[in-house]
Amino acid sequence: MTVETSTWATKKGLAQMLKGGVIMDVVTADQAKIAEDAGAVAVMALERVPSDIRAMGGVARMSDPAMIEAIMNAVTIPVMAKARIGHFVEAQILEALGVDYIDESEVLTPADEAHHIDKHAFKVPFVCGCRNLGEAIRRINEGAAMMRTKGEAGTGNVVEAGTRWCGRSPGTVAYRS
Amino acid sequence: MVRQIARDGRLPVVNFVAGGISTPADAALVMQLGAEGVFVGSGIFKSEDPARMANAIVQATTHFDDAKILAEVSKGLGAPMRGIAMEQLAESDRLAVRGW
Amino acid sequence: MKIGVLAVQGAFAEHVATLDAIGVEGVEVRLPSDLEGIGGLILPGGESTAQRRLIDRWGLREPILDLARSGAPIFGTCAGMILLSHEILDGDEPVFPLLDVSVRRNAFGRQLDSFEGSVAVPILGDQVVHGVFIRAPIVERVGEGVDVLARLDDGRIVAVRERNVIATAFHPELAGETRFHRLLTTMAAEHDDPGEGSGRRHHPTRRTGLAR
Repeated sequence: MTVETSTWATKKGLAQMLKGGVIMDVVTADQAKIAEDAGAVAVMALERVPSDIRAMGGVARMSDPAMIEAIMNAVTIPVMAKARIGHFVEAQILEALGVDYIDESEVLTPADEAHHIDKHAFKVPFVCGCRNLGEAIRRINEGAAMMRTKGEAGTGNVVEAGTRWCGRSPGTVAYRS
Repeated sequence: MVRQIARDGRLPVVNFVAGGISTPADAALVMQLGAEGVFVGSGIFKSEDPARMANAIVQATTHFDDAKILAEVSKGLGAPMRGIAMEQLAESDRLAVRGW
Repeated sequence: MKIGVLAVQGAFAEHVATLDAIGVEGVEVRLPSDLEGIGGLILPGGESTAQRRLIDRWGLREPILDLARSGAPIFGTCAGMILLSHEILDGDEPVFPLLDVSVRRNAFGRQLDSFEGSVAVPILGDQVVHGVFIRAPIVERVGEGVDVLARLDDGRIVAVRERNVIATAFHPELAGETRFHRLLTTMAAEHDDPGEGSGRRHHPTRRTGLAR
């Protein structure tokens, strides 16, 4: 039997397994346990949740690998972590840690004004944010295996996420771009 | 890829919604609009009772189309995160516009 | 003939689509009332820890066990295999202990170790199954009444059957593989009407000694 790891089917497939579920931001191993016990399908390990990033200002970067590892050791569900837009070295570090998904995220301060990460070059799958169909297609073309329509993070205000959608039927998505 | 998306009416990868979801009703709203799942950031651990809020949002994401269950799981959750109105947020403070 | 697909969380839409491809109506099951009128049930891949919470909260455990005990066929993939096992090694209590096996969750490691490859499944014929393994479990122990349906080259067990319950560690529904779903549908039709198909003969996959 020939075995092939990190194929498109396995990258995209993990996201398929998460469907119908909730992925929760956590900043400590204790929070990760609470999320897992509550029925989260995955956790996003980061040092500060978006509302605190917003409050603190300054440059927001990849989280401390020790903290990400502590969360990976605390739960059995998949662990995701964020890299800055375009910061392929942060992504290399996260891949070396063995995280299950990398979020190339606008919540952190972008590291490149022009380019996103070449996600095809990685074995670990990526999720990326998008506001419209054009952005989604560009990210998938760069190798993203999962998308997330971005509302305004850290506001607790669903207007941004909600109004970017115009649903036709469940599972069928069209963008108002 | 564009042709495939036009034919299927959906992206070729799974698509979740993120940003601003802080109650079970919010999660059910985006699910009814066609999301395949949700990311919840500040909404859980900035609420009064994170474990209950987390569980309620999980239940609402599964039973997004059943208003009776949504009413049931929304009871007695304590205060959600405070939130910010979009008008109060300067364009330069917006994160979602990053990426291109 | 309708086949239910547990739709509390996970890749249930892929199973409904696979059933649709063989002309069988798939019914999404979120509440006990959704089980009415179905001839068999699929437990899809997903996160078993999350699925467990949703199964218990709305009282799905007993009705699904009753369905299985009535002889209706049940098919679990990945997380579904975990839910069907007697013992989850280093894990939580069993959910639907219908397969006398012990499974280990995430047995191959993390997502970077997820893989795909061909797997021989003799009861489905000579043509191999293309298996997609995503953070997949492994069966580490099988009890006496359990048939091993497939192994990896190194001997590790990735598909099993005990009477009317089948489970795979991999995802046929992600690879356009319909034979498991056809088998399930055949078993459901036989359960519904024992005279179906070949009439007096047992279904080829049925263990005659154990047939009830």
